[in-house]
Amino acid sequence: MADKLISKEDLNTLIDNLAKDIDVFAPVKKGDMYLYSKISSSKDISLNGKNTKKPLKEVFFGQSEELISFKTAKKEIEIIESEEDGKKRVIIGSRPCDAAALPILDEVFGWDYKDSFYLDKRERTTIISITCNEVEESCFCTSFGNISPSSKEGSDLLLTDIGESFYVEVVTDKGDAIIEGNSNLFKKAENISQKDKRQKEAVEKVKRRVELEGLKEKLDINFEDPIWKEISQKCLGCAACTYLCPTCHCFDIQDEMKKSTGKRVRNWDSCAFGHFTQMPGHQPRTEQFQRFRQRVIHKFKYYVDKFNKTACVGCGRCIENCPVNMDITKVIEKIVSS
Amino acid sequence: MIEDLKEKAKELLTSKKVDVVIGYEAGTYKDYASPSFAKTAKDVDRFVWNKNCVNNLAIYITKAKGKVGIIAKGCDVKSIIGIIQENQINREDVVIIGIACDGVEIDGEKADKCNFCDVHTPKIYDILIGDKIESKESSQDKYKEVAEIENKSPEERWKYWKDTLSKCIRCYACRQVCPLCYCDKCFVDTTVPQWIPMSVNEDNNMMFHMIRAYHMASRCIGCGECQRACPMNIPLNILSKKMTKEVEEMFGYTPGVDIEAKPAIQDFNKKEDPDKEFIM
Repeated sequence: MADKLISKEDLNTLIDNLAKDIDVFAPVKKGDMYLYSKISSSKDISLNGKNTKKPLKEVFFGQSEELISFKTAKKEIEIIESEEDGKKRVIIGSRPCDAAALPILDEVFGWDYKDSFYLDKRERTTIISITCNEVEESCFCTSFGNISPSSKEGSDLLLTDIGESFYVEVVTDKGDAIIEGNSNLFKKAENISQKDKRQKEAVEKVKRRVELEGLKEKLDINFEDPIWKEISQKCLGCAACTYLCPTCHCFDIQDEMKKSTGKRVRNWDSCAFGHFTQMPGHQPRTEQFQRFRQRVIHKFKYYVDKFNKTACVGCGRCIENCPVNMDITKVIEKIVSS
Repeated sequence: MIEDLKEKAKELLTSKKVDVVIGYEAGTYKDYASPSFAKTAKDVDRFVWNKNCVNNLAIYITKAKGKVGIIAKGCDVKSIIGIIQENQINREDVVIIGIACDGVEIDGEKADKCNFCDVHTPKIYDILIGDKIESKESSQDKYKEVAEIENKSPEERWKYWKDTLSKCIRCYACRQVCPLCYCDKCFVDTTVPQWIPMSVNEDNNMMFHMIRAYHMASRCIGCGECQRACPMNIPLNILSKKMTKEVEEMFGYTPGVDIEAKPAIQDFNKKEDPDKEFIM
């Protein structure tokens, strides 16, 4: 699985060729933001834009996903299973942080219960990420050892823009298969120094950093600490941070009926909402600070305990989109120094 | 100004007139200012006052416990007036530290609401920081965007809102950031009955935004926080402004102006109906 080069023109040809037979997703500029969207032509893609507003998880775990549909007639219920189309899929131009979120999500969706909807899409999808050209002020991916603007975690191929061409690093067999299937478009790798330079520059652009050392130890014992009330005081309890988080994965399943037909839908849900934990007769998280604490502890302790992974990749979306400037890096700093 | 502000805030805390003063501190992203809660005089040292103090802090007065001091721009005071009119707090439980403001910025650009500001000096306050600033009649039409939508054909308008609202991810940042959205249980969160299914799609999104807009009629003072908070950049101001315009035209009522006035939604006193035959 040797590295390759692909010219920018040939990458467009590759995308157009792929889009003929399989589903291709890529960042597309829509209005004033970028969103991962299904594309039919390489012309639609924006590889050099800002980070997408919504994370890559959406392509595997949609906000509202139909699981089954049903019809009722008298006392009979007919259940219709939702079928996936089984098509192969490629994602082109995902950011390394978003790609790194996928192995994190794989843990929870593939743990005791194998979530066929998520896992099936994962299986069918090849991830071609790109080294970030632009880094946002909110980015802090390099605070995590295995993630950076040019990390390969979760990707099958990694492209790095070296001017006329993209340097292509092959990470997995899935990535290799794309090259094998389109070998006429790829050349032998050269200019590795330019690739290294570009990647180093990208890494150096990330200025925001948070020290995670000692965090887990604090979270192991600080559940009742009054600091939670203090640091969460300004949180308004919206779901901008959780919905736009590449690793937040909580959902609610509801049946939606219209006359005699209905569907069972899985929707994103958020620990920030009061009704998230509302049960008949009991509400374990009556106050906002408890909900905020859940978000932090889930990411940096429970997930680590359970899967030995931190459920944060430093994409910075929660910082960028918070209306009251709740900044997870500052929250962590305060906890560590408490 | 900031020294005066800090001094007054400290006085309120040390004399125990209030339990907390809600103000602004420097944020940690871009040049944003961030809400700040001072419980001691020392905490007040964090306070800042500058062009980036956009947030409407009135959202926190219905959440705070005890007596509250609050730094409030003219527009924010309008919200406080609404909250008091609707009996969500007692006037005596809040010390309004009004601040003379000649406009705030979002990402370096003048906030939309500031183009039509008629309250550079707040309508009511207990303490005023800064010299009074006279408000001049704005030469700009505050209902320009509303008119643009109104001038569309019904089909175009339907398409516009369908497309625009299909972007909504129902994170409810618009609701959570709104000082007048204080219901314990929002209509979208009830499950028996469930007014709107949880699924995010054009129909459900439109339903949510329409009901929200109706709930804001005669109550929204146009602070623009819903639009600012929206991560999907949905122009929610247009919906709110449309409701404000309708209420102004029909009921001659403008919210956030007179604390003694009865809001249109409580009064139903139609402008052209002196005998009050409409509803009551």
